[in-house]
Amino acid sequence: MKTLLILNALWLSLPSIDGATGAEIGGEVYVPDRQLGVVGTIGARKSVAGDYSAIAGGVGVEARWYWRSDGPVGWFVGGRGDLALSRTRDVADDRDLGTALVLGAQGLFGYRLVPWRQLELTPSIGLGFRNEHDLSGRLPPWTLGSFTVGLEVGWLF
Amino acid sequence: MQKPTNALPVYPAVLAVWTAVLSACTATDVAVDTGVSYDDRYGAATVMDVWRPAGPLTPRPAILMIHGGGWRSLTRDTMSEDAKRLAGAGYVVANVEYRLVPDGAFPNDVQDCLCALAYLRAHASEYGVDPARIASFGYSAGGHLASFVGVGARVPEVAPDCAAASSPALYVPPIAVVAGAGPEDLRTEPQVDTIIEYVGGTLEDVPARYDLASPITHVAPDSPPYLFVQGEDDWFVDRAQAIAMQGALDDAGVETRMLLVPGGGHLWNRGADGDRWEIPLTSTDTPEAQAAIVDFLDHTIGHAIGDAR
Repeated sequence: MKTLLILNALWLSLPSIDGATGAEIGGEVYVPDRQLGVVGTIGARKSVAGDYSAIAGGVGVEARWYWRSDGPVGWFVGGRGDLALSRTRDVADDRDLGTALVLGAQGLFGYRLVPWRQLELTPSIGLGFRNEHDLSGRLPPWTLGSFTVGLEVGWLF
Repeated sequence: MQKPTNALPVYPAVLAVWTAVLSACTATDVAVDTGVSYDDRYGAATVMDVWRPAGPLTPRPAILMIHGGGWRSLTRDTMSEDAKRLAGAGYVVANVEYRLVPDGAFPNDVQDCLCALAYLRAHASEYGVDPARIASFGYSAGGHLASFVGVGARVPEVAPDCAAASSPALYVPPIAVVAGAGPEDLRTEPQVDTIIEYVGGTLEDVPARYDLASPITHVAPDSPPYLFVQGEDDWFVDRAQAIAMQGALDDAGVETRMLLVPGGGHLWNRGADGDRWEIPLTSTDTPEAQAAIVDFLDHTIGHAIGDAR
């Protein structure tokens, strides 16, 4: 179990840098005895533009079970939970429109490939939901289901 | 539109069921009258669900909600969660069905929306609506229709002929518009089948119909205030549509707001996990847009009786 304290992968998620408005980084610790990867992510991004401004930030945890027994590569299934906060302002009137708390959960299915040295590419799909709370109390909470698509690029250690 | 918006096989029944299950788990104190017919001539094509806060029927501001689908597909069910949430915030929301292409080709769908608006006003006391405080809200093709209702309700060529619209006073324009990724100038859209079949010909063949069907040509100084919500990377409805419409409204002296979602698409955006795309997730359903929409509505139609506008 000593590998539990060693970071086995570090990556940047490609959707998070779309539009160059933010970044999300993630790390993974692999537990070989259980073929289990434990993932943590943290990120922030500019989430609106135009006459409004907003910054969204969040953290996530994820567990992945890899089909192969020789390392955190190949097919995996997993589950993930997220917590995010987003604060929105009306720039034109210089007013705070409130903060939203978003909780998300999803089941994942993906594949990690290593095309060159320790470079890793990990596309994945998922099915989940997010539960959103307007902390100003103006809107009631709501929950929406969705498919999810992700792609990360990183380095294995 | 660069691609037809009816390309939605990615929204299978399993996801609709999943969303319905989740919705049932989110308790919101609202009431709904489903399948209310606003024009008996077209059966289920011209009905609406009226969502409202539970409790006494006091006159409240209302929203005419119009779904998308390239004018040819989808139903009001795609907007039910939005309607339910806004009803929970104090609004009465009429989530409308309208005739789809081919039966609903322009201007028939516009006439349907105006009939729904007239019906809502004519039956205001039954649903607790303040008929003077109504906004339109739509997404995609529904954004186009919400916008058209906002600026083109008085255009003679689209005057409704339904029983509900017995008086022009019943279908005067709403006093605010929330336009989510709606085509505003069909003359500048790619000439794809979706557009051609909707307008009734190519731009070369029927240019006057394109003028008529484009909300941007009907902008006037007395047009209602607008909130545009638009994904910056929307491949279906380019953000240039909203930007052009905002420019026209600004030139006319009309109050506008623009909320752009960086990296946002037509049906995909980033959700709780910022590194993953959620599908479907429209720009209007992002937390930031929800905050902007309810703020815009509060400042245009108010959110409860006695509220300052």
